[in-house]
Amino acid sequence: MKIALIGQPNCGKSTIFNQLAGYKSISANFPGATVSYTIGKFYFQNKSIELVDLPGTYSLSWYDDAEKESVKALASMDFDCIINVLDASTITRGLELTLELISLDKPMVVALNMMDEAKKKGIEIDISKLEDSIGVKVIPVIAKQAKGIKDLISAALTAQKPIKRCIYSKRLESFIESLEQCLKSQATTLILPPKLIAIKAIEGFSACEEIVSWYPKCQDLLETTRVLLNNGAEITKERHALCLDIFEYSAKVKDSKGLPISEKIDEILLHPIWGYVSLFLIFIAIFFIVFEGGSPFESLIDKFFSFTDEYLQSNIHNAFLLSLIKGAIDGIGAAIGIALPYLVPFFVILSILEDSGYLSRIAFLMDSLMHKIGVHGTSVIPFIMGYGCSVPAVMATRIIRDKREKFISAFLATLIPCAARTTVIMGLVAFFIGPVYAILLYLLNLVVIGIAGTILKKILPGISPEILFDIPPYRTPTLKTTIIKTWYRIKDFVYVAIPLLVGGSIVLSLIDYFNFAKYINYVFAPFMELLGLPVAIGIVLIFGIFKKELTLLMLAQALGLSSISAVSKMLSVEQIFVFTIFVMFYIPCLATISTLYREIRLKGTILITVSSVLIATVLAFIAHLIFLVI
Amino acid sequence: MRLIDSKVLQEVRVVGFESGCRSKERLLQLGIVPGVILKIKRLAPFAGPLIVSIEGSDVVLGRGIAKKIIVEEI
Repeated sequence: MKIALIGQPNCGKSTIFNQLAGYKSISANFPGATVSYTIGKFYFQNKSIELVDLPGTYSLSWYDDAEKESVKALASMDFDCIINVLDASTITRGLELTLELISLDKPMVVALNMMDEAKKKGIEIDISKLEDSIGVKVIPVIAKQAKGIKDLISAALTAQKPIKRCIYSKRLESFIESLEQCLKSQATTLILPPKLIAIKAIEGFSACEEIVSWYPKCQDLLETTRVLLNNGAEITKERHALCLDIFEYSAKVKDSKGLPISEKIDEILLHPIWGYVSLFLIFIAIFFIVFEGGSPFESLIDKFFSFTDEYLQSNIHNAFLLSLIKGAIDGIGAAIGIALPYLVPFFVILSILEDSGYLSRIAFLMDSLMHKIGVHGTSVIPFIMGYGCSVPAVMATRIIRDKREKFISAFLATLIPCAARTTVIMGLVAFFIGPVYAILLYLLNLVVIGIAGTILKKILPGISPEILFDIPPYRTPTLKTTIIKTWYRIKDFVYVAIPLLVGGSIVLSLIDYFNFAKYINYVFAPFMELLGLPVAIGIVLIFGIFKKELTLLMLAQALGLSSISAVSKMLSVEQIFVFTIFVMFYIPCLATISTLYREIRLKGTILITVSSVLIATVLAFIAHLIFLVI
Repeated sequence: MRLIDSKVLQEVRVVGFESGCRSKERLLQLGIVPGVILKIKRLAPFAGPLIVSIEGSDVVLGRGIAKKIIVEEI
């Protein structure tokens, strides 16, 4: 049995999905958190169920790439049942999609989510009246607390096709019907149900208009219909009126008391002055939490290294074996002792930021500034995701509709230091030189992004579209979700980065043992000399292409040191700066490159990759020169 | 009157859209449909976007879009 979860953005599809299939689909409190579909399998009453979490879409006429993915999946995967998730607190808007889904004529259930929030807003919904007016079974749920989820799945297993076939007025239905019949008689295979194509084409949705245009007879009919129905606006208007009627029939609205808390918070966080002050303070606070959370561990790990080092030296006498084992232990120690302590607090904060609803508000505050770098406020989302990992950041550009803007956003998002690069900035600059200098590097990064954006805006012609999205309400992140989400992100580090790191560490030991290093270094020598870095670091930068953390973790090893704390003895302050600046910008890691290729194709990927190396080299060189002068 | 010219917190009714409004589809999807009542809740500084309150939800839209939405006082 194959079930689809579909609904408008930020109505809680992923939360329901995660309750059923285990945490697989990152949920967050902003529209467009899910941009590709996720499939999960589970058993319910001895039945194997395949559940598909689709990206949110306001309507079946898609607007951006994420919504297109949703409609495409809905049309191409053969679902046995559709679960339409409806946010009870914004039900009128959500019903528009419900009414469209009804014309798909598939077994369907409505999951009326966020019943608690609706209640807080003073909205009380009579379930049987709602069922009565839409002709579809409705199950009230509170996904966050897993309430009603079992009832929902039982209902989905026995779901019926919608009872009402005709929802519009007789006049409109007859227009839709004749176009539908025409399509049925002319076309043999259609990707969407003919009725849906008919409705959407009359409304003027270009993709459906195109399908109709393949059949000249239907095309003529469409043209006359559109003229008669005021360019299709009558359908849109009637559907909206219908939603309001359904709402009035099935819901009661009581006056909610006073100004909601959310408004009071916005008074400060969206204030023309205090809003920006708060934003700045929040980011500084995040920086210090991550730094203070991670740095004690970095000092501790030093003891661990010197201990194992001595132990191995005195117990293993085979030099080859020794370098092999030492390589592996250094790798594990570095990963657990240096990277993890910075990653964990960072991902916890990112998760809280995402779930609170603050991200969309940053988009509102920053919109005007973002226009100067060729994008608009919505790009704040991929940018902030970029501080976590460039892969989801590049994927998040799917919520940006304009191709040019999508490219600029992807370009700039890859320049943002991801969590891996943050471990380098924290572990080297903040730890050895001081946290204030690390903040300066983050600011430098923003300045470079600003300049890069301004240049891209100049080179790529076009008008930037304006911001347009709905702001989610504030929600309190739950402890459970925060923990699970952090683990979900750390998992990638544990399963992918640690093995890579151990492997890389061993390879490096072997290179050292067999004296290969000099050949590799020979190739790198001129480049490293240009930047004033020790030649031995060249190989570390190669490993960094796989995973950026490796640049920090393998640094000590490459320099022939027993532990990371000795780095400051081998590298001068100047060299630490130059190295970190280079790592902050150079080449996206392999996973990011492959994601870029999927999202913006070959040309864009090559352009971004080459430019990032150029930017890194130029900046590192300038930094080197500045230090020479000083 | 255009939406951008209405006062903050003043309720207005949407009449229609000016031609060439590239975001019309999305506006309709977000519930900004001719006939509905909405109000500007907040304006961002530096010629930034505005937050519009409509049927219980908040929508952020750029000033350029707000210039193309025709409204009337009620």
